[in-house]
Amino acid sequence: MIPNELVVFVLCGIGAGLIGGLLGVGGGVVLVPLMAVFGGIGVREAVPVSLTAIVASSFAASNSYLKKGMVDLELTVIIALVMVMGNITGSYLSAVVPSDVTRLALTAVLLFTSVQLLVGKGSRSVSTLERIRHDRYPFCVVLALFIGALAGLIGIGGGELLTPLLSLVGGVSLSTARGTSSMVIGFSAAAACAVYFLNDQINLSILPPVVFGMIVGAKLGSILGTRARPWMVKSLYVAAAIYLSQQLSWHVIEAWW
Amino acid sequence: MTEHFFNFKLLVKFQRYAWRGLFLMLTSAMVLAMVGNPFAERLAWLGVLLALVATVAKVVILAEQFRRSRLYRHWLLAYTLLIILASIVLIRLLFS
Repeated sequence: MIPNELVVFVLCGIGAGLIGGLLGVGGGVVLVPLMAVFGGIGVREAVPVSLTAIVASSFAASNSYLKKGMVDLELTVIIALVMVMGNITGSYLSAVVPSDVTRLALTAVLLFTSVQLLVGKGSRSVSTLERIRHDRYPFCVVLALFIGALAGLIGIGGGELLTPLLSLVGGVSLSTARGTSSMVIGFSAAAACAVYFLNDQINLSILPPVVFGMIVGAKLGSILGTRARPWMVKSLYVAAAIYLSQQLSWHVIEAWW
Repeated sequence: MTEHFFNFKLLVKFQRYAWRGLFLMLTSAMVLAMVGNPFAERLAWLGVLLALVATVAKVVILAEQFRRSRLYRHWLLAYTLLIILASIVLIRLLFS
């Protein structure tokens, strides 16, 4: 690999890792297009590398949140389990549900959560959060199943939906939602990564610079994430949601137009 | 959660070793690739393997910590997660 290419892949990894670590999302939705556009590789080649990078960076990102007590481990296990089951359902449903409908549904959820995050109530007391969490625990589980299915239909990790919805609906503070989400996505990405690994479909020459960048970015992102003010995180999330919505639905709307 | 019994430090320490080990392996692979050493890809392959094994170990550590905390429902759920993840891999490998 020539040094120029190497620098490009390291920078792609840093960019995706920074956003992923800061928002508690995998970063795959950022990394795959970045590698395709700047690295000049196909999406089919980029996806396995991205998944492996997500597994690796999840260790670094979630550890910073874990140290600060910002990961709900009980919720992590339940959400991971239900999301994985939803993911399987979603991947089977993808043969039945038209992809345009799924893309528009995901866009609607992303825009709804963005608006709710912006206009919703500010920080709530710990006792209020505990009460909400206790009351809405079953609803949280159903929600995780829905997010998993939606993510499986599109083929994304689901962290972009999990973080805001846990915070808005699940009675979890935004910081804990980010920490929990960063831990959950590591598990769901690992299964897909294992399949690519055992099928020998991971490009091992691109992987090291991407993972190097992703771990550096995720570590920086999670350190910033534990210190960042909620309004900064919310603004970043809204920007990421608008970008993802545009990526998902623009061509569908354009075709209808 | 009965946090008194849950050894958070063990999980934090394990995750720290895991990401540092991965970082070291893949950075070494990157440097070896730059100098054209054929061992680079082998090292990257071992790095992916380490990431997967570490994920399995993380679930086991979580499960055992839940057991220590007498959170038996979560202990079972953690092992169920492991079984489901392994099943997905097997099903996709066998039927894809």
